[in-house]
Amino acid sequence: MHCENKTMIKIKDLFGIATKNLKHRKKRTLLTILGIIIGISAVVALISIGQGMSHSINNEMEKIGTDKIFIQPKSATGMTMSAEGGAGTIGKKDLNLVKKTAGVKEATGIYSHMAQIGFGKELQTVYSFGYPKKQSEASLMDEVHTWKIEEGRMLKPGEKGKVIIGTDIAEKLFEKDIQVGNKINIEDQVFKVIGIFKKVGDPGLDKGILISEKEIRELYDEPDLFTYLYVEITSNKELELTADRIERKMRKDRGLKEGQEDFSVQTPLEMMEIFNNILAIVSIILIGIAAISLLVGGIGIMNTMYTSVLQRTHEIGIMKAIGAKNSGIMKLFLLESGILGLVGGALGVLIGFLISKGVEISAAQAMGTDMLKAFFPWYLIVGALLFSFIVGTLSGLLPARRASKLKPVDALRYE
Amino acid sequence: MFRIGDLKQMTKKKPIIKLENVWKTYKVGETLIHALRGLDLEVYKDEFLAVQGPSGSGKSTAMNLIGCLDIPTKGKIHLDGKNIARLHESDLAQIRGKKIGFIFQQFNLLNTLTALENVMLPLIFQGVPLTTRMKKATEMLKKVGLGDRMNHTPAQLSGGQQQRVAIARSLIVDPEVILADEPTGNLDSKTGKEIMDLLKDLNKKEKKTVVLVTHDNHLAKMAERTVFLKDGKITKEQKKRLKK
Repeated sequence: MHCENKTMIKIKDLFGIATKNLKHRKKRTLLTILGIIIGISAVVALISIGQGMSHSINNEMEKIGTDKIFIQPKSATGMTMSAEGGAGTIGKKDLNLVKKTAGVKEATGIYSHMAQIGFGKELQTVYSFGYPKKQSEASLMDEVHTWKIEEGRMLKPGEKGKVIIGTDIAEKLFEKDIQVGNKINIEDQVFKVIGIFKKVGDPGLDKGILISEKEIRELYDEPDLFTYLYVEITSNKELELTADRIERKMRKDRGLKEGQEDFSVQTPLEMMEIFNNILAIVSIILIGIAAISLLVGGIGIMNTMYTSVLQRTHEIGIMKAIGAKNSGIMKLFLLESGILGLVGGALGVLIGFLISKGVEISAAQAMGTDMLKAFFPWYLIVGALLFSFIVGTLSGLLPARRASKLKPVDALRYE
Repeated sequence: MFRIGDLKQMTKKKPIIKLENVWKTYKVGETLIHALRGLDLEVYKDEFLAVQGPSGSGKSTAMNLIGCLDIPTKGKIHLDGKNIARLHESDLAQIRGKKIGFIFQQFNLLNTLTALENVMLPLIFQGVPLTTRMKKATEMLKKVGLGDRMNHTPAQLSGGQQQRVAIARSLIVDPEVILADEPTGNLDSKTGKEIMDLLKDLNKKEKKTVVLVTHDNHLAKMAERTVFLKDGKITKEQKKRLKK
């Protein structure tokens, strides 16, 4: 069948008219899309920072490996009913217990304590950590902490009278920078600085010192306790299983029921999950706020389009007189509101990009680490643009309908 | 070339537009106002018809109906033999776009667009490709003597120039009827005469049917045939012998 009415308007032809109308009222156009700009830039910045954070944390966890388990006393928030009150403790007995658990390849513990260190006449408080004597335990600790030496060399297991210091201690804490080879006092005992850690962005390590476990236990008169236990398992397929075994064994040893633990056994996967959950909650809240902003932005566009229909009623009449169908007018107004959304979205993406880059740079400066990388996948940009175009178009739906339904005679008469 | 015989032959021809007992009633509050009361009118091909009448006579309403801008309350309107009185707005729009060229007293150009874009506009609504649009619009603007003003916006043009743009716009779809509603109403007499000459030329040289709606006796005299409207009806018809 031959179609008599071949009068389909092409969208690209209307594009020129639509953009001219928007350019004609620049200030109004800009004010109208402000809501969209704010909404989209917030969404883009949040997603890119959130994703970047998630990526780097997950990367970090992967570096540590999926064959590690962490054990620590449960903090006061764990609320046990123990007579002493507060958290439980973990000692050498627990370490031996863990080592003997099926599926465990190696385990080690770290003891840490606040330390008073002196350099020249100044005294400062830092964190101190003990480095195990056994080579295999020391390697496990190296792996978990992923620490790197910036200057000098690493401590050898069992080495005495030597200390590795964090970059902040070397460069910021004292008036004079500490160099490799300098001597510092730890609780009035002299240690030689043989190495400086690379900055990692973790304040514990950047403002920490590492000495032998034997020496730290002597300094603080603590023969038994650990702050953390690190476990390496034989097969990473048995991660959860081994973690369960350890937990059961320790519970039995302490005579505790399930749910009463004064310690916690965590895997990197669990830690990742906890982090991702927190991130998800924060994201949902912030994206909710952004959604409200987008809604307000959409209402702004609708309002502007209604005003526009009113102001251009005569123009609509002219277009109808020279052959524009209702659908043509509808398309024109939808296109205009869609473009409003799209331009707002484009500016939003740009501003969102700048915000997250700014966060990335300031985070790098504050923490001296490239941990936080803003994440900009193409689908985020395309998605944001598409979404803002859709918001714009939907907001224009009712005004465009009103415009298209105007009677040509009435519209022409309207001045 | 035209002789009286031609005129006779013309009246025998089938009209392009035929209004048959057309009524248009508006409701203002509780009162009914009959703008047209059984109007009969025929517009023939190639003729220059003037519809003359004082304000309130219903001539604007008549023009709207002839131009398919509105539908009658009662009666028939035949365009090319087809009754359009009950057509849907979209169909009317299409008919307007292809068969009617409007020229208004207020020029009615789109202020944001240039002369060229204004002239191209009707073709956009018909989906004509850009290159064809450009070519035709340029041609039309040259024809009305505005070849050097194509990229000016209406605000940068004089009244006469704006009306020429409007004429070019009406011509671009190659319409069957050019409908001019007080085309010189906003122009000084000299420019007004130029525009009228242009319309007369279009009628004579291009064989365009022109319907001129005016209250001005002087202008109406330029037409071959004039119908007088009063109280929504034709009261008088006057034919002019062609001086050639």
